[in-house]
This record gives sequence, C-alpha cells and structure tokens, in this order.
Amino acid sequence: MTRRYGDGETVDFLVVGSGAAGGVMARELARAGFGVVVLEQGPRLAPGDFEHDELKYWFNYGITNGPADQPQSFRKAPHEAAVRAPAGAPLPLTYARMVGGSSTHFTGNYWRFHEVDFHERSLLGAIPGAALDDWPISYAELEPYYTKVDWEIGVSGLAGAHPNEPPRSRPYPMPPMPVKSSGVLLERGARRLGLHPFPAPLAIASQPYRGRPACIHCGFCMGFGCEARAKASTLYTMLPEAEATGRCEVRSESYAFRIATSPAGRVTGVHYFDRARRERVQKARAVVVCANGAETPRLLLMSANAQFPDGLANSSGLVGKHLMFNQHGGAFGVFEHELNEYKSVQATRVIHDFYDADPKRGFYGGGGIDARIGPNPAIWTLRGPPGRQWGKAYKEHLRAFPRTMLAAGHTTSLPVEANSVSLDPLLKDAWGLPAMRCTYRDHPDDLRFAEWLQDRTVEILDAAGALQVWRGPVEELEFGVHLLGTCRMGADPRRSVIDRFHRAHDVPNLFLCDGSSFVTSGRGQPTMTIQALAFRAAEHIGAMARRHEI
Amino acid sequence: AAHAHAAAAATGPGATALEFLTPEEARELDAIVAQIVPTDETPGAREAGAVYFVDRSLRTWAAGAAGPFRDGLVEFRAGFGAAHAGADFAAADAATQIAHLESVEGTPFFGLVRTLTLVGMFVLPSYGGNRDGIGWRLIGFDDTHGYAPPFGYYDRDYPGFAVPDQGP
Repeated sequence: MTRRYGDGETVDFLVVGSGAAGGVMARELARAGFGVVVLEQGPRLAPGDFEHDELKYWFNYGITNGPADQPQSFRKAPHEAAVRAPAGAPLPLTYARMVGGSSTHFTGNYWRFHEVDFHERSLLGAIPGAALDDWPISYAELEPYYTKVDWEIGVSGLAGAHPNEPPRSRPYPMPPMPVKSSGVLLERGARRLGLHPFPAPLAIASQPYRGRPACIHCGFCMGFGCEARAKASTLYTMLPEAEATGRCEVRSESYAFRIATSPAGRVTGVHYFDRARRERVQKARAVVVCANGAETPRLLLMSANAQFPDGLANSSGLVGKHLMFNQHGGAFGVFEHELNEYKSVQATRVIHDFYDADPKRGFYGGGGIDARIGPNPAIWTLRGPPGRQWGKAYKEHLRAFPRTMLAAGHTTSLPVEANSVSLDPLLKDAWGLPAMRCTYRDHPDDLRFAEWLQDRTVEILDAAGALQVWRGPVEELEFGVHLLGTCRMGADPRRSVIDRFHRAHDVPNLFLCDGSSFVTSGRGQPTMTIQALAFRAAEHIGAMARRHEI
Repeated sequence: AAHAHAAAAATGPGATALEFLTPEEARELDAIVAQIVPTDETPGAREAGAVYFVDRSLRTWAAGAAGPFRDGLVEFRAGFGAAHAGADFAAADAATQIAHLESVEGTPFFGLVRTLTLVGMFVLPSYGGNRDGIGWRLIGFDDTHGYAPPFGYYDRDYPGFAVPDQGP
C-alpha cells in the first residue's frame, strides 16, 4: 500500500518530522486526498527493537539525539559564550530521533490545556521580563480537536472526575489505567487537604484499542519505546494509517537541512541527506514543518538565503526565540509498606487545583501534580535524601526503593525572548551542518512557582502518611524535552511567526506545527495540545489547498 | 577474608578481564566502591562487580571520562598515601577508608566513581556491574517483563475512584 514517490515528482505536501504533530499531519492530509512525503531524520524501528535497557536509553542516547553526531552548545544568556554540551549528560534540547519522534519515548501524560492557558495575558496583564501573550485561538476552538486526539490517538481517562476539568464534548474512549499505590496515596493525601485528585489521562491503552493491545504494565514508558504498542506513538497510530491511504510515503533516515524557495518567495521543496548522506531534493507544492520546537526553528534558520537573509519566515526576528521547557518541583515520600512504583505507567492520579495563576501569590505560575516513581531504578538511585550520598546509610535509602514515590509538580515556563534555539557559529554536526545553540535561563517567577508547588507536594505526602519526605531539586533548567514556543503563533506578523492556521506570515505555502507553535507553555504535558493543534491545522490546511488558497 | 577474596576476584584469572584499569588500579577502585555501597548482611557494590562495570564503561560509553578518571585516581592515591605513610587505600581498615572518602567526597573523581558504581548496579546485569541481579535484589526490583495489578500494598484493596459531588 505504501506509496513511493520518485525523485522528480512534486508532491502536494512535504511534512518534515514524523512525531506527534507530523504523524497527525501526514494522516490527515493523506486521508484528505493529498500526496504526502514525510521526511524523518531518524530510523524506523519495530516494536521488537525496544528494550528495557536503562544504560542504553538514559545514558547512551539509545533513541534520542546524542552529543557525538548531533552536538549542541549551551549558555545561560546571550552575552555569554556558549559551551559545547558534554557527553554523558542530557543534551540541552533532547528529543527522540526516530519515526514517531518523541511520541515514541514520551510518558504519555495527556492533560488538555485549560481555558486560561489561551488568554493569560488578558487576564493577568504584562509580566516584567517576559513576553506573555494571548494565543490567537481559544480553548473552545481547540476542544473538538482535543476530542479527536482522545478518540483517534487513544486516550484513557475518566471524564467528569474533577471540578477543574476544562469543558469536553465527549467522554474518554477508554477507562483509566488501574491505580497504582502512589495514586492511592496521592488521592488520600489530597482529599485530606480538600483537593480534587482525578485519574490520570494517558495516551496509553488500558484495553485493546484500534488494533493495539492493552498495556502490560512493564514500567518502561518514560524515555523508552513501547514494545507492546500500548503507548500511542504515531509510529503505531497515525503513520500506518497515513500509509494505508496509498498516498503517503514516510521516508526515514532523511535529514532535512534546507527549505528551497522561488524568486516569488514561495517554498519549492526541501533539501535533505539520505541514509547514505547524499544530498537529495524533494519538490513539493507546500511544506509543513513538524520537526519539533528545536529542529523547526533550526531548519528555518539554516534555510537563510539572499531573499530571506535572517532565515526563512523570520521577518519578525522571533524564529527560535521564546523557548520554554516547563519547570518542575516535587518531593519524595517513603511509606511503611511497599508501593513498587517501578511497575506500570508513571502516573495514575493527578491534581489540577493549582492550575491557575494567582496574582495574590506575588508571582506568575501554575501547575499540576502527579504521583509517580520518577525514572527507572538506575537514575532513581543517583540522588537520595539530604545527607551522605554513599555508605551504610545510603544503602538503607536504596533498600527503601519499593516504598518510595515522587509527588511531581509540573509547572509553567514564561516566554522570555532571550531564551532561544539558534545556530552555533562554530560547532557543526556530523553532516557538517550548524549545531544548535541553546540559550536558557528561567524567568524568576518560574523558579518561585516551582518551589511554591513543591511545598504543596510536601503537604500532600505528609497528609498521605509518609514516614519520610524530602524535596527534589528546583534548579535553573539546562535541558528540556518539552521544546516549546520557538515559532509562536499570533495575529501580528511583527510579534509572531505563524498565523492562527499555522501558516508562516512571510511565506504563503509554508506551515509550521509542533511545540514551536505554542504561545505559552501550559503546565507541562504538551503533547496532547501539540496533537490537537495538528488535527486543527491539518483540517484548515487541507481546506485551503482545496480552495487553491495555498 | 571476604575482602581478600573479592580483591583476588577483581584481578585474578577467571574474572572478567580488565580492559582499561591495571590490576593495581582495580584493587584500589574495588576498595572505594566497596564503601560506596558496602557489604553488610547483603552483598554490595564489590560483589556486584562494580569494578568491571567501571572498567568497561571507561573503554566504551564513558570513554570521554577515561583521562580525568585516571588522573583522579592517581591524585586520590597520592592524597591517601601522603596522609598514611605511603600506604595503599585498599590496605587500610574500613574506618580509615571511610574517613578518607568523607574528605574527598566533593571531588569530581569521587562523584564519577559513585555515579558509575550506582548506574552499574542497577542497569542490566549483562553490563557487568549488577552481577546475578545483586543490585536489583538490594532495591527490591523484580525483573519481570510485565506486571498485573495490584502492584503494591496500597492499591490492593482500593475501592475504586469515587467521583466527587461537584454541586449543582
């Protein structure tokens, strides 16, 4: 069924990136009758390729971009010299480099944004040091597409389970995952404090769904690929359905590095390296870049030419700016009996009582809390409670692993113009292309709110009866896996890169859709919103193409 | 006796061959890891084979740290020798070893040894530092491919999620 397009053919749509957004975009455009080629820089893996191997996945960049072939540099502020990110530590801008993208290694937490996320600037006013802005769309406009994600991608959860839930037009298609001990304890502690915990919405099948089996509770979600196909990577959901139309080709190990333009200022195709590192060109009537919040701005900046000297679609100067990672702050609790949190999905209970920003606190911020183990054993063992991190007492701490949980607070990052993805002037990747330079320093309010929410996690663990509680670190972030805000959408071409339908303000047949489109960060868990945006954008892009408006 | 046996195992024939460390370096390193996760009524990092994991890591995925590691070890040994009449760290008694490690626990060398020791103990046994699943047994990690609820004590008798009354 899979269509193969020849080198000389001009396809209707070329989609760069096969992840959370690219997968949706490919399926929707192919189903709408268009010919689609998807370029994916990483390989296509099969379920059997995924292993429960922490060393490979957490320390050796098994399925993510890595510092050997995809080096990056980092600095805190634009006036500083960026330093090459060292091997052994996570890259500043980390994503899964494979077909399915980061929807393959994500944890699958599928919170919808709330109504407030889309108009906080109007609600709260300006915030010094930040470029807080309203989205050009509302929650109500996005709601049908959130519902589409629930049903087309497959989200398990329980509708109507808490008073802070944003309005929804349909219940979840699957019941929530079985509760874990951490979920029971979070629920117990939260209810004692008058809060409203609810079953976690997850893009993980709690029962067989659309040809995929139910979760086997193996515990290797976060950072790993799902060999059971229960976690809803687009590798298993959207892309096979796109290919089944007979109009879509997913071309793996195809690394896009320059978008070509015509004298009329339209895009004509994309230059890429194939798996043999030969330069090839795929011509297209329109290009949709869904390469993630780091690679999308990088591709635009690498596409600079005489006509677009500052990078493609960059008349605003904002391509790559306003990078947001999502802050976090949480606490560990040790209980009397075993929880065995290493089993099953990360989170089974969530709290959204602290979702809204509250000016009375004196600083901006909002967040959600969930119950989880955190990473798998090897990472977990690296950081213990305050005190000596080795020796006899540390061994006792290690023994408490099955009785320990993390109450994790997931919080906002403000859009700060200096925080950015740019091209390093010196460092090159293994293909000779400019490496990414990450500039990032949290807005002070991001840290203050993460600490504030951490206090709430401590209270919840105490109320749940924890024998021992300690805080995880709240630190300035030096890496992220939520890559947001770098080609923000907006009505004003001077203050945004794309319009409300994801069309580049400067280039009529170029569209951008992924985490880069975000205007604000939400409260963590961005993939649900990335996919809702992709469903919405695909519908509009397809309609515009049919009306010959592209 | 256990110490002598482990030191022999760390360097003697029949053990995994060393790829980076000299036998003497391995003996010293083995004494350090044995204080990071000590042996008590259950095995520790020494029995788990942490030395082999560190050794192999410095030739493979952590090769970039091999130079600083070796420099750090030389400095560590010189520092211990200077304070203890030229003695080897491995030959000292436990109290002396612990006291010295407390004095150097902030160094990059100790941090690297600690990280590699812990990582090796809790990743797949095939990497050499979690021999016979010693690390996993220590933390109660049941290496099964999948699980079924109940997962722990607190979800065993969970009555089901009660949807709160959200008022009119």
